[in-house]
Amino acid sequence: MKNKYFEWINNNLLNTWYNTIITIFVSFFLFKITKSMILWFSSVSWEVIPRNLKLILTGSYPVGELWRIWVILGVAAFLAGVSYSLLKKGITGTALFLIIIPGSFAFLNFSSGSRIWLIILSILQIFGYLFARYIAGEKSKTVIIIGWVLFLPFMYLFISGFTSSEGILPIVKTNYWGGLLLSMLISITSIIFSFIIGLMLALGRRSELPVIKYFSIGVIETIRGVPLITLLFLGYLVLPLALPSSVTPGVLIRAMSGIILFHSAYMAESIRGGFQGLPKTQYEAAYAMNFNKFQSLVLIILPQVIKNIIPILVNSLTGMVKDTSLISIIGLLDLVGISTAIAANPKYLGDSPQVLLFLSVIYFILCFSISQTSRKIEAGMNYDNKEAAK
Amino acid sequence: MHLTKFNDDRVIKIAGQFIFAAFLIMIMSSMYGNTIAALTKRGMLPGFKFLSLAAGIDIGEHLISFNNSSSNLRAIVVGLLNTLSISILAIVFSTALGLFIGLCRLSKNWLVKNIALVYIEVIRNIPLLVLLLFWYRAVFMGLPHIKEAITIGKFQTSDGFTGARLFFSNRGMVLAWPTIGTGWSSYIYIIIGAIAISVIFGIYLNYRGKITGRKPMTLVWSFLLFSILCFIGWLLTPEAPLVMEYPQLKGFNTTGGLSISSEWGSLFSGLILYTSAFIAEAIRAGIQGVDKRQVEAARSLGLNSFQTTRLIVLPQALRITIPPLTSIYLGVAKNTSLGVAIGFPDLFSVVGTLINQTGRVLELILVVMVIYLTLSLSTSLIMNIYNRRIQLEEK
Amino acid sequence: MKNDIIIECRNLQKWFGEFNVLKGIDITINRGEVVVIIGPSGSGKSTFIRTLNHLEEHQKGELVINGIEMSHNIKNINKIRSEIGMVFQSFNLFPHFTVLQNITLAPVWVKKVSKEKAHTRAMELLERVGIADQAEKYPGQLSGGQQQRVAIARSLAMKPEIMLFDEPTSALDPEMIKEVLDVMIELAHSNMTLLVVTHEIGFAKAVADRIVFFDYGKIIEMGTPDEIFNNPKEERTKLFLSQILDG
Repeated sequence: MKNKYFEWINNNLLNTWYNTIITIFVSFFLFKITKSMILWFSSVSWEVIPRNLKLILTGSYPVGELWRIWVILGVAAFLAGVSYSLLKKGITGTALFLIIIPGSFAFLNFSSGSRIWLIILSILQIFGYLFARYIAGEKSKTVIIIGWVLFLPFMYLFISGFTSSEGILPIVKTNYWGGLLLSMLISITSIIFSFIIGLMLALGRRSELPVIKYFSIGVIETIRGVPLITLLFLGYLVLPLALPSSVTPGVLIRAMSGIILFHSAYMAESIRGGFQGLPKTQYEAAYAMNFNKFQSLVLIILPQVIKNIIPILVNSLTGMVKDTSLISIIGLLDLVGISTAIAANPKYLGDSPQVLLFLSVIYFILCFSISQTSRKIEAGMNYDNKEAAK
Repeated sequence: MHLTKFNDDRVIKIAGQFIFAAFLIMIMSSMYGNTIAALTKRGMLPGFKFLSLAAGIDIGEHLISFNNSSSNLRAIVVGLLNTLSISILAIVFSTALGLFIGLCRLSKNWLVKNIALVYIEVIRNIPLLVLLLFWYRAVFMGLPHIKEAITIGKFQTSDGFTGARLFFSNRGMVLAWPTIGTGWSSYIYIIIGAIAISVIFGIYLNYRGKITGRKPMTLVWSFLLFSILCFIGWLLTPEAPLVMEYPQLKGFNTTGGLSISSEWGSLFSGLILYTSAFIAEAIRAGIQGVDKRQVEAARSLGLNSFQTTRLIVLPQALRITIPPLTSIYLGVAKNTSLGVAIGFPDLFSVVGTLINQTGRVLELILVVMVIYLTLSLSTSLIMNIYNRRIQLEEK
Repeated sequence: MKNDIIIECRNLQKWFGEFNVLKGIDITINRGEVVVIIGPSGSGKSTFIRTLNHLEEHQKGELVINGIEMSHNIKNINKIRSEIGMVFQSFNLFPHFTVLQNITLAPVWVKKVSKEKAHTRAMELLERVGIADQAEKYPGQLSGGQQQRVAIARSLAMKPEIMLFDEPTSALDPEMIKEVLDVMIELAHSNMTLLVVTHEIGFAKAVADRIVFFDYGKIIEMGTPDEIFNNPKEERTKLFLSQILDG
């Protein structure tokens, strides 16, 4: 056994003389840097994080209504569990990992209420997985589609509420939404709407009618040529002007329209790539079956295009999560906006590095999990193809 | 019968387009009408005359002269120049850094390879804004006040002021920078001579290359010769062509040297860290995208490692890397707009301030979008032409 | 006459990790010999001929080519490789160079041949393989059979002493196999030392001096085409031949 490790070290770190020098150099620097980082970590006060955790995660959402967010997470956990069952045949490392995360957070120093909720989340995920495997079986696919489709409006409705302040679901105005809650809400909404609009633009670009085609190209290229922040300002400042004076969209809608518009253009290009990746034979086959253009599009072409670009779509979710940070510039209190607010608090002067580091960790966990999931989905789909070939 | 079918189809197509266009025009004119009405209520009919009015603002950094009585238009130009200058510098440095990291990613040394991987993965999963804010708030703003600035190479001047090679304060960085000395006028001739000799050398190398059929790395050798000649010329000039100017702290300000503001420094650092990760990935994908069997074939013919890399791998890797690299570079220019979050007066930031000052929302947003669009489209066009020229001939 | 040994293998062994792909190869090949290697997939025949020009390294045993021992820290590997030509299953032409440039590249850069001499020789070779009119085209514009013939010309341009072929026709459409085999037959008749891994039995019967049957990393049987195809001695040889020959 010992031999194997030495052999590995020899091959990968020390196989030539200059490699050995590099290894020594790099190890030395790594050691020094790690040492100073650890020193800094322990010398600095991390209080600012736990004191502001609720603010960072949910903004000014009323404490008494936080249970609603937990419910939403619970539904999402259940749906996630159901979705895992479709990805691979056995419980994979990733699925286990994703179930363990909320479970392990339960052990950290949170309030007992939160810890209970976290454990419930883990249980719901497992339940969802088992439900899909053993109870719903084949019907799981429909459950997933219906579930996720209904999830967005349900989420909005539940979080904003609709009854008076004495009812079960009192209204929580959008300016109380903030932090991670707001970032996730905007990202999820953006991906759905930008997909829809992006699809329309992509189809428009493929149209044979010159007016529609050049209009689509014009829109796509204009949006892709400008920075996101200009579109955010466009939505924030110009949209209220362009709408009839009786309609006054809130800040949230204005910001979201900028983000959605921006991402639809990039989505349109990804979808276009999906179309180009499809072999011509598919179109010919559809035509041969006597479908007209519209039927062949919806029944044969589109499902395949969408299936092909699912990894790209999931990956653009990471872009959306990151781009959402820009709404802090127009004053919305998403994750980054909250950090600016905290930095302005004289009590936490100079604690910016801690807050920003914490934010980076949150963003990293989010985006990294999303890209890992997309890789699993990709692998899962190729698996499908190989099975079909057999 | 054949004719009517043909007509039907075309009629539908044309009618469809008419309807679509009419619908579009309806929506656009109603939006336009609303906008005009709303603006008129504020007492501002759209027009561009306001551009010649005095801006009434101050801009912290400007490559051309600017004060608060300069016109709005001039303010926009200042912003544009700031954007362009920082973009170009950021592109150059992030390409160098990205190249280095991309090559590290391909290294056989496990430590080097994985440190590069961690770097890339961490940076790619964090928003650029967070990186910028970190540089600005955590790094630069964490530096002390100018009076207690961190210095490197401190000394006392004869007037009793403090001088140094480097000053680090929360205002930014000031470093010693060469200025033109007495020997410059004679040194210029040496530079011109060196350029001439190097160019002639380069032409000679190309000529030899044409004869032997082995094209040499002309640019590399000519540049090397140029550098050596300049160096020798430097030693030979009796009076120093360039003199280091050391910044000095006088009261609350420093004089002399090169001043890099915290805003510029944060935007620049954030941009190169962020962009280099993406460039590294593009370069890695390019080099790994070249079929290993190409290398096998080249080596089987007797070509050595260097020749194989230069003649076979690099040209093919370049073809793969250029399209994503183009969009990364365009992204740099667009990302400079984030300067607005840390107070760097890039194009967008300046326009934002002007919108606040003048209230001319519609016109200014239009102007800024047109400028960015022109930049993007012209760059894409050039890169597309280059890309098409280097694409491989297919059946 | 034919006693001039050019390749000598003694107990050649190679592992891919844990997998012992070559389990002790002993063979001597003379200058000018045409040796055809046959055997099932995975038997190690491709790996074997790739060790001959050091594309793969062997862990045990000796390999001597043209008097030079091929060891781990071999010097002048480039010079040695320039004297061994290799033709791959996937042609491996350089797509960003024209056909002519593909052929002149190595002579100009490795042997420092003058541009004009390289050009003339390239055109001669293109004539020899029958596609002189495609000189200015790019590989992407040629058919598979044409590309493989260019690959052969490209290897011949270095005036090698040995030509190695790794399943040269396996990636070709059936109608193009003949044009490539014709070139290889002409080469065989020109006294070049050829080592060919292939499934083309007709070719083997026509020009091979010796047939080598590989299976599971070892040479099972060697002999003249007549001996192997008409009177195979080993059971495994008989089994393999019955699977690939029609009757």
